[in-house]
Amino acid sequence: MNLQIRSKKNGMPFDIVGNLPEDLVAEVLSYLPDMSDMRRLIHWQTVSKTWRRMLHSPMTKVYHQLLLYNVHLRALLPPPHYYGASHSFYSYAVFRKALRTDLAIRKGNFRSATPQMYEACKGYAKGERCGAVDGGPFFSDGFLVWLERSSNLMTGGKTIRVRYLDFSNVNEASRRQRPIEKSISVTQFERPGESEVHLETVFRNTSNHWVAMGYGSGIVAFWAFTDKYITVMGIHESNNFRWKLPLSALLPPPDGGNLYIREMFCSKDYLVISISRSATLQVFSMSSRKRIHLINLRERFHNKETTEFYYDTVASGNAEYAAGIGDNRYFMYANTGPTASYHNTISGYREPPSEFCFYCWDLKPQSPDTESRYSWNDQLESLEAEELLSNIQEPQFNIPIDPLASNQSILSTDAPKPPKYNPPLTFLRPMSRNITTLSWKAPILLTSPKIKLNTSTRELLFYCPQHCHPPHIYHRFSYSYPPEALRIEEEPWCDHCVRNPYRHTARGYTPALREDDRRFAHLELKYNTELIFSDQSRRYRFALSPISILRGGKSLRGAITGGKEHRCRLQMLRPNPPPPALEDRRNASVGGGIPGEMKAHWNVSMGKKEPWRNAQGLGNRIWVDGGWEGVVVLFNGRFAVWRWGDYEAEEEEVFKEVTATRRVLKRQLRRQSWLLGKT
Amino acid sequence: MLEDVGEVTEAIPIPNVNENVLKKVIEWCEHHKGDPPAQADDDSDSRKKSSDIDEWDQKFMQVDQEMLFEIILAANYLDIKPLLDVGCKTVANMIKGKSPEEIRKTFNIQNDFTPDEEEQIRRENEWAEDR
Repeated sequence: MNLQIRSKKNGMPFDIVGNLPEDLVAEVLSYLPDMSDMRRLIHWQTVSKTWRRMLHSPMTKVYHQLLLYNVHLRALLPPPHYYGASHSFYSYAVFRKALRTDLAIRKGNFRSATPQMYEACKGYAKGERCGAVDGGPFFSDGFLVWLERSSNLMTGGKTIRVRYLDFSNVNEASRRQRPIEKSISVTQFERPGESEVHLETVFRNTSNHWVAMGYGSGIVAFWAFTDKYITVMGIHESNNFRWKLPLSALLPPPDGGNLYIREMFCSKDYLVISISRSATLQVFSMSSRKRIHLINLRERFHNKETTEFYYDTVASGNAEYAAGIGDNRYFMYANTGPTASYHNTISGYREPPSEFCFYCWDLKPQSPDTESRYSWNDQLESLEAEELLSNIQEPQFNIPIDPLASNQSILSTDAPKPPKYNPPLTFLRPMSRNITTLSWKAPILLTSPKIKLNTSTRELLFYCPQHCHPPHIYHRFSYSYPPEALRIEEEPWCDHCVRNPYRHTARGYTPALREDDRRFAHLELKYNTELIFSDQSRRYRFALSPISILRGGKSLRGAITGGKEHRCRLQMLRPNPPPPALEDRRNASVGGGIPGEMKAHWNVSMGKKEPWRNAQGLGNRIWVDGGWEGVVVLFNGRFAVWRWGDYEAEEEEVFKEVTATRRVLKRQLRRQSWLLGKT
Repeated sequence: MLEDVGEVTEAIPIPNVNENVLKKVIEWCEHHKGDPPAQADDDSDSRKKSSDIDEWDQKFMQVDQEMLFEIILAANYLDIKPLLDVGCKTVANMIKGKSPEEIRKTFNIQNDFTPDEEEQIRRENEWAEDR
């Protein structure tokens, strides 16, 4: 080959890079690590077909952390959230900013083994097993990967990682009324761009699940909405490991209520599950397949008369756990029980008794006549009962605490058996079941851990409760082993946030909103097309009115086909009291929410024959999410974000081609138009 | 390579390296024979700087592109990692900061994309544009 090249080119310049072997090309390109070069590298695909093929080679992509996104390259994402994993939709919105900011963040994350997440591969490999991590010839639809402890993806060490593959094509599944399939697999990457699937399983007929990742050993635990088991699988001591933990082994709430799996965590040998309503922290040993710890927070640390009791989050490590309770108390555990505790970690901050969480599992046999224990009306009342927060009694707080652990075998026949499982399942906030026909059973997913336990450095990190953007550490505690007391090592990092609440937000929150910042305390889906949420002093209603799909008619029967405008109305149900400190009316209005109406142009196609049915179908295909930045609505395969405090709305075509048109309503323009209208 | 052939007293044929290239490789090895052994390979960023070429090596690599290509292949074949690094860095410097059109001129590459294909790729790469 060389002779041929030499004879052809004899003295003339020729394509060195294009003729080098793949590994040497990767070596050459590895000397171009800067972000500017990275962009160049992407553009070099247009040099020639040889160069394009070369840049798409697995070694190049893996080295540069590039991904095959549909058919083109895309760089890896930094973690959009501090804990590394988030919704793909959300990360998509921040994707461009991340690219422009710093490649070093990503590399640093790899070096420091920070969990990363990326998404790629929008092709569809029906019936095919997914290929390599970089895409390869077979790639799935909605490839979503979390990398835990991925110290070196670029060179592809012999590290087991957990791969979560999402086969769901939401549009397709919704249209054809087919069950959504998801697959989770544990893979091992021997060489760059290649992976070996050790274990794989597929969820069917569900879009709701809860996945906990292991560290290093590839342990993954997951629970699907309709499963009666928590499946734990991975590679344990060089052997494939699969274990099904029946939900009946989990201790149901003492009052017989719903069983809420709040969080799950995996470590090398432990599976930690926190159950929200029963306020228990249950630790299982994967090797012995027994429950080794049962920590009941309700009995010892809370007023038993208070039924509204939730604990915020729990982190786990090597037999060390931390739990935060809604009334701002935090506990450390090591092996046998709580060993340290801390109260009022963040002065003046009290977490409302929130229910931001997942799905409930009604263990009680249900019948249509059975009224849910937590009715919708009760929840509405609780929304308005601000005094509820102040009525929580200050509990007595004593340390040391007696161990609460109890060793119970989950496999023993004496284990408590729950009542008969009787689907369908209900949401955490039950809705009227006559109306609820959501095709996606996960319209709400709203939570973020505020504490994080790092057992390697023996640190307990508390993130800023102001929900600053970006999230940052508020307190850093260190502890000895076993943890006996928490010791503040550093002063609060965001003291300036307290003084100047919106300094770090870059979102234009008004002081009135930020001073009593709780983002919104409640988020709930009332009906198919209506979302109600509230912060401390306001309530909002987000309504998707199917009537507005109409064009030129008074009833839905007059609907016609073609591109229509679906109007999303965001209303403020309870106006914000006028903030006296504010002089600028504009700011006051911004803090009061988005006035009037936000129009989102959904390109929906209505059927001629049965427009009513179509409208209902469209109304059912709404997916709503909220967080500390705003509300996200996914509707008919498109995506819109409303951020609090500004008028920016962004639509994204998340399930179609990336090249789809994107419309951004500029904040300034909307402000000006609103001001003009106001004056 | 020596490990592959074992202990032999006869000459080892190197079919993939021609005489001129081998002379250049030997010249490079002679000059660097007193260099301290390379540190263990790591992934630090310091290793990955294309500008990190000493003056002699820069002059050494001022050869036509054909020879540079052959040197890289020879260094890879003979497993001379420092020389391979220098060669790769030199090539990286040649393409660094250049647009596709400039690269085509530098390496005399024919654009074999149709206008439609080129436009398609350009659209795919819009996300990486400087904004």
